[in-house]
Amino acid sequence: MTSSTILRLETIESPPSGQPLERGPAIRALLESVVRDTHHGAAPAGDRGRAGRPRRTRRQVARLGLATATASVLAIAALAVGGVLRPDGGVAQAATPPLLGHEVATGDPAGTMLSVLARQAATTPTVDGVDTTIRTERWSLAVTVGVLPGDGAAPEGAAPEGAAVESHGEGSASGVVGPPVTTAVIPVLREFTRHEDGAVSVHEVGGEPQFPTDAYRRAWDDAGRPGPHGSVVRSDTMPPGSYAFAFPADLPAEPDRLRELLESERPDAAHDAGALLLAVHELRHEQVLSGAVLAGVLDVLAAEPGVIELGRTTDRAGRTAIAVAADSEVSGWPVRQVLLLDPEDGLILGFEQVLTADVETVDVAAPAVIDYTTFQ
Amino acid sequence: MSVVEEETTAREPSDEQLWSRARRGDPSAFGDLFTRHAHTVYTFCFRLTANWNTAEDLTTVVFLEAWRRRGEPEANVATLVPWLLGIASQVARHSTRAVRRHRKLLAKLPPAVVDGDPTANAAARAETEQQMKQILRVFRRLPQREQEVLALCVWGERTTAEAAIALGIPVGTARSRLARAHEHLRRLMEASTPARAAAGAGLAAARAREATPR
Repeated sequence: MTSSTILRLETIESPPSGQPLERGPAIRALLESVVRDTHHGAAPAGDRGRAGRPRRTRRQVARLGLATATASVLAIAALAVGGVLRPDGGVAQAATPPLLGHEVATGDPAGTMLSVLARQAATTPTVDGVDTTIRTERWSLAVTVGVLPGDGAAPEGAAPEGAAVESHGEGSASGVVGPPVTTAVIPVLREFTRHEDGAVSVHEVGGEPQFPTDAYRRAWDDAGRPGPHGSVVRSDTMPPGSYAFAFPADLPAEPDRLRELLESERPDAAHDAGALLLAVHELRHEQVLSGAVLAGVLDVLAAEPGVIELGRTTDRAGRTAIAVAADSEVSGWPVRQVLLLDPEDGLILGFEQVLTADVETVDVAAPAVIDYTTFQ
Repeated sequence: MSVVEEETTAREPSDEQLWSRARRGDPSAFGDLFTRHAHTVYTFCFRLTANWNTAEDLTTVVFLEAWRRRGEPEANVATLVPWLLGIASQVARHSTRAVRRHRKLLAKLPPAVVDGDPTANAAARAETEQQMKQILRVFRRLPQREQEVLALCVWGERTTAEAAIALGIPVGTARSRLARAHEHLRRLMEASTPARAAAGAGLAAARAREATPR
């Protein structure tokens, strides 16, 4: 026992006490809404016998059975096996990053706000003639082995776990780093540099593991802390002309022409607001947008009625952001696409995909973040 | 002790009145109960988890669970706070499951906003979390049943009678578990003279409360 521990024991009678709840009013409002929505004149007698037996248990058993029966087809990589079967029940589902707070909230059309942001973005100066580097932190949920992205079983862009995967731009569909991971969210830190001579460099490093709860951290520790934290995942430099960009370097600023380009890369964007947000994310992933082009992109989104405003939040880098979103099912999953914008100049700070309802093929409890990119 | 429940005055409705109104479907009555007892529950949850963020989520879950269980016989007004702390003990022990059950509601909450100097606040929170983790390191070496009684009686400021209600066990059982917990704790701390002295002070305080009916 260390001396510091002994000192702390002196406080065992009166350990640290509570600070004010940071979200007290919001919690109260939530509780009141629950009473309002669920009161039906009498106490729920039917709940008495189920107090300790959530309906979830039955669903988990069903999922486990499904996973067992289809094991030869669906290796639910890094999800069910390491999680559901834990005897202590501490980690029952795949680790996913925490929601940013109100990513699943309802919202009003974002058109007006986006138009204002577009005007602010238009004043952003453009830097030409130098190398541009796009730094991101990205994580994607593992889906299935043997199922290609975009075939309807998973949102395009979702990829094998650990998130040590990059499937954009250069078309790398693999990239799993280290052994499959069951309990940690491991982002990849990526530097994507477009050199002035046309060459492209990609440098990726395993990020800091994240854990939804202490139970996941303990499971991670018990497993020997596998993963690529700090190690170089990829370091490539491609000569001029060898990298297949999805979008031309000389982007137009006119909203109509921008929309055509976005739809050419994502045809679903013609009728699905979520796909449109996904296309914008992909554009941002390979280019640093000039103020004029960013304004055009924001105008495109402003004209899309399916894009709603979720209000201000704090992104994963601790920055204040305005969230806009659109629900989409074109991937085959019920997913909300969320774009995070700088409230001052409209810069794209991040992009997230949130699973909004449970799906059979993956043991993730919706709502859950299944993919995120933070632009640094 | 630092867990302080807000005093009620003659002008304020009692817990009994608020709970009765809430169960009849009055949202503000349930909101008032939350405002009145949230600090007690929050502090208790923190002491069981050593994490302020987790404690805030669990506090929400405790009240959601209280509402869900409002039809249970134990949900009677004379024992509301012990009952809430009993729920807190359960959800803290199975926090992953408890949070998962209410995840959709929790997801509706806005992100936390730190008042004042964020850096100073974060430092204070980290320091208290570290203190609590050190305490829990010793506390969790006790048998689970003894932890529950000791937490309710010492950290939750409940009498053994109230702890018994919270845990759904006879008073005599709660009393004997508390005595065993005292003894186990004392043994754990015997390796260090200063620590033993501290334990003695803590247990004396708990016994003093024991003699004071609520």
